Amino acid sequence: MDKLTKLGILAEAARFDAACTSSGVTRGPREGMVGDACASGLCHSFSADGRCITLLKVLMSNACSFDCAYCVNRRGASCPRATFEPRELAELTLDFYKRNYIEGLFLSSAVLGNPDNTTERMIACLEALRGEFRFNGYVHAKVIPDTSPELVDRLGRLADRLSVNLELPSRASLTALCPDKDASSVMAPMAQIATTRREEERQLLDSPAGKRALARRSGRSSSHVSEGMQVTSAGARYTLGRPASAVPNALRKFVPAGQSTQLIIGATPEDDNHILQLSKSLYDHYGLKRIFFSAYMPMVEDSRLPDRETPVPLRREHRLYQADWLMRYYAFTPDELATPSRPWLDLDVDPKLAWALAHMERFPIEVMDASLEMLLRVPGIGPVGARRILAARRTRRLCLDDLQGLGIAFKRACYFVTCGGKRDQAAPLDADLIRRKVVSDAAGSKYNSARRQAEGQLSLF
Amino acid sequence: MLACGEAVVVCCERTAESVLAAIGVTYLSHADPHRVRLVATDKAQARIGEKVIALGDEDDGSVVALAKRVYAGFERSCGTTCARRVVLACAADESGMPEAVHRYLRLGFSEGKRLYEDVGAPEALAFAKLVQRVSSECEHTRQFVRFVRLPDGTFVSVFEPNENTLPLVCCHFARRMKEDRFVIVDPRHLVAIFHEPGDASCAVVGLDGETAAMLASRVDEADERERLVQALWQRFYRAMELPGRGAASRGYDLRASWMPKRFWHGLPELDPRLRR
Repeated sequence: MDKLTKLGILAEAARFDAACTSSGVTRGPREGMVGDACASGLCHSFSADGRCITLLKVLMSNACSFDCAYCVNRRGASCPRATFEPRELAELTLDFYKRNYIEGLFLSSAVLGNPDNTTERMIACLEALRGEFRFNGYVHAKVIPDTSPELVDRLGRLADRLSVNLELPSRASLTALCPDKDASSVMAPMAQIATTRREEERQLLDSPAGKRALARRSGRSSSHVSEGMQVTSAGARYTLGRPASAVPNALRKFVPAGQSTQLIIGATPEDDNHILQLSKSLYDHYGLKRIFFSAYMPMVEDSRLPDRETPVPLRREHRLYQADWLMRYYAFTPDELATPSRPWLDLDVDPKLAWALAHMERFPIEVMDASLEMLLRVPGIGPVGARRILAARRTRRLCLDDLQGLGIAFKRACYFVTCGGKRDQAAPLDADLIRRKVVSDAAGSKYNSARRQAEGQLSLF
Repeated sequence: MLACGEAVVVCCERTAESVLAAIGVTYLSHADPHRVRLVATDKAQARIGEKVIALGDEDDGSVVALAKRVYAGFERSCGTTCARRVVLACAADESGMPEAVHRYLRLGFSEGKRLYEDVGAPEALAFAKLVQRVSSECEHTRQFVRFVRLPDGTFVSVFEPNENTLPLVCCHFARRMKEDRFVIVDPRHLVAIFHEPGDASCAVVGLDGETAAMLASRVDEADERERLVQALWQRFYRAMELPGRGAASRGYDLRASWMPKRFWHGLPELDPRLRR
């Protein structure tokens, strides 16, 4: 099989994995090596459907011995099969990297024989890439459930980020759709990665290199204070997310960019509240950096799955990403976004707006004296805008016209704020009127109209 | 020295050195801050009664020396972050750039360290727009530059950003491709960056039109192996598309909003000639 055909098959087989970030670790260039890594990541292209392409995302092989019902590569599927030679894939990664097509490699695989065999093949590829080809760029590798702990450890010392895909949001769904997997085989490597990272962090904090890095870090933060707050970048410094690791990722040898996972949305009946609660629990217990949501695409005929004509739940995926972002950076709790009694996110309005509409008694807030926490709860005000407001109001008295210049989406925020005691005159005062206007504006957007037509769903409002 | 209250227009090039030196000239000449303005030489049009001052060539060492003095003074007064943002803003193509930078520096010299937090001042807002525009175009440059490997091992790229970003991103590419020889040409701003294996930085060179065209034409020297790599990349790119999520399903073209169409002609993944 020629390389073009093989790449086509193995890339197409990998495209359902939503993770494609190269973020989380900064690593400078090294003598005699190729490339570097940057914590903010870099998207080099965008597919026709608008998803970013950052890494060469392929499977090592799509010849799978597992039979997960939702998967296009499952044992029983009739599709062309292909397998990369480890060195062949390493060489291709380097070719793409040097032309500025990608930031690195995203390596996953179907289960070729058994999990250990497959992982050994993936390790051989990464050893060629890091050793023979001296690649210093970003690598994201997938851990296959039931892989031996020793192999997970070796993989984690070659890759920047590891991910173990949970895929289905409950034990019952996993049992129903994945006869070859069980929850413990998925959770065990996730727990191993979290434990090893914590252990490494503890050792680094005691080491001279760790102490030096910490001293540098505290020196840098004091220089920021002397220059004021970071009002020019989108950094997480003044958001309300989880605390960052005490150790710089560049010092870590094991999975420096942390771990992530993926959940398939819409293949099984779990509601949004369940998914957000699960996400919160994963972030808290396993220190996950990201959870990716992949809207289920009905490509497979199976009585346990939604009908093939079922539309892709794109808006639901989108709203879950927004809710996830609010939990990580704005300190929202799952129950604030989707309650047990109303367990689905509204599809027509984003979760922050939905929360604000449900809590109109807390608005409007006065921009000149609101806390950072409250500013971040206003639709249309993000971390950068909130920080700018805090900085600007120390030096001058702001008026409504100033807000747009500070990076506030005033069209969205105008219903929820006053500035110097004044409200936007065009914004209605009555909470019901505000709700009707905001919901009708959101529902009328091109995105919502197109999706409502495709999904055939009505707004929950 | 100017006559008291005389209206002045100082003409400068659209480079950080020239703009900063021109600002230095306005201070050295004790011009009335309310009656002096900076304009780009190619857009210069004096108003009635305005005295025109043209800055010397950048090759003249005194221009660079004055620019360095202004930069150092500003950095000392307002901090490193604000000074770095000045360099970014000076890369903007917008015709009003010199005057926006001039006003921001004057605000900075009067406010000192408070400048960083005074994001609501009209001068700071106008300046921030320039910085935002250049920062965004720097990101586009890092994203969408595409190299072609020539048979001799040199990597060549032609890229035409809206702002003069190559000098600002050359360190990024030097880090990324430390062991490679490469050149990136910007025929629009007549600038190229050159890198030799092992170097920690690139040489930034101004070009004439003929040299820029000659360098740009070298991408056509790609051999069969290079075309195969491009075809592989295109095959990978096409394989990434998921059905049911395109522009028709979304109601808008998400790809075009992330990847502006002005860059598409330089992307091998979208080049129909490479389709296999």
